[in-house]
Amino acid sequence: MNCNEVHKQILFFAEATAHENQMQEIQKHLTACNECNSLYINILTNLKNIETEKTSQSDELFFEQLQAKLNQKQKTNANLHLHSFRQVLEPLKIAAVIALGIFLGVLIGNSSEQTVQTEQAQTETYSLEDEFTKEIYFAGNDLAYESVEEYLTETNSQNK
Amino acid sequence: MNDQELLAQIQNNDQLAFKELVKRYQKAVVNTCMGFVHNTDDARDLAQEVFIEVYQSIAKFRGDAKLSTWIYRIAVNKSLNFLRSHKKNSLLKSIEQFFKGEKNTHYEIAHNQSADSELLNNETAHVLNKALESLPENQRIAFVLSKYDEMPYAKISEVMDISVSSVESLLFRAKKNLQTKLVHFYTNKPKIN
Ligand SMILES: [Zn+2]
Repeated sequence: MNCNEVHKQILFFAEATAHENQMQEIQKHLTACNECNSLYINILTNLKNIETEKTSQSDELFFEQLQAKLNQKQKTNANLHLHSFRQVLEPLKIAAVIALGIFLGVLIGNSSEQTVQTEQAQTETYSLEDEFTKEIYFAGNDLAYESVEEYLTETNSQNK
Repeated sequence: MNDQELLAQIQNNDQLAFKELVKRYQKAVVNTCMGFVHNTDDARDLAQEVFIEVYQSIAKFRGDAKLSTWIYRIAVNKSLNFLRSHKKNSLLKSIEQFFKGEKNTHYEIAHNQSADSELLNNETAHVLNKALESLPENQRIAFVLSKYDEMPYAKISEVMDISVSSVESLLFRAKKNLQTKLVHFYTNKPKIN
């Protein structure tokens, strides 16, 4: 077996899955060829690396950490649901604010109308009061209320 | 308790049954993920993501495949997605570096390391991982399930949903390709004095 033929079987030789007679041929070549032997050692190191990468120890914290992550995910999902619920809620909130605004507007409008009416009523009261004071005022001033006719008749009777 | 019974109990919201499932498949799932990502922390995180998905979708699991097959499929998919997103990120980074006119730092590091035999020896064990990354996806999956999970061909065929002879063929091609890449790497690498 030459170097090229060994190269075509070296990985299968390293994992001991080559045919038995080929295993022997390659073994024979490796004892005589340093280059192929060093190639074999490198490939064997790579295959052994798979074994060192594999976990064999039990990981006690694995489940605890998994549970913490699951709780975190559920919380995030709940927040996400809340967030999407809020997103749905947002236009409703705006609509509610607008409706409230309109309602308040109407309410304020109505109450100001009532104020105007009260003011008008108050103005009327004031004018009655004015009239009253006027009456009082005029009551003190007899001449002001006495008609010309009465005045003349009185003056006439006095003259009689 | 077999997997079917365990599944029924988990679907009835039995937390202890879920804990038992994690205990049963934890090492296998971590190893599957490790076969793709080759980093202990990433493999562990991914494995936890796998169990989170199992937990979240087990109510919908109708048992068309075995529970173990389903879990392995999730592990393979999660690992491949992880690699794809990393590849995308590193591609974006290298494009960014290219447009910024930065030097290829990875290339420089690799060449500095080749001067240090100790580093190269350490690196040599990971050449297979790099070679594995360049394999077609289905060959890589077959290789990882075979080597990292020590799965028999029949189980690989279940997980990959292909025939046993297809698994044999995929594995043979995967090993041939890896061998070519490894031989090329080691017979062409610069000599260290
Ligand atoms: Zn040779």
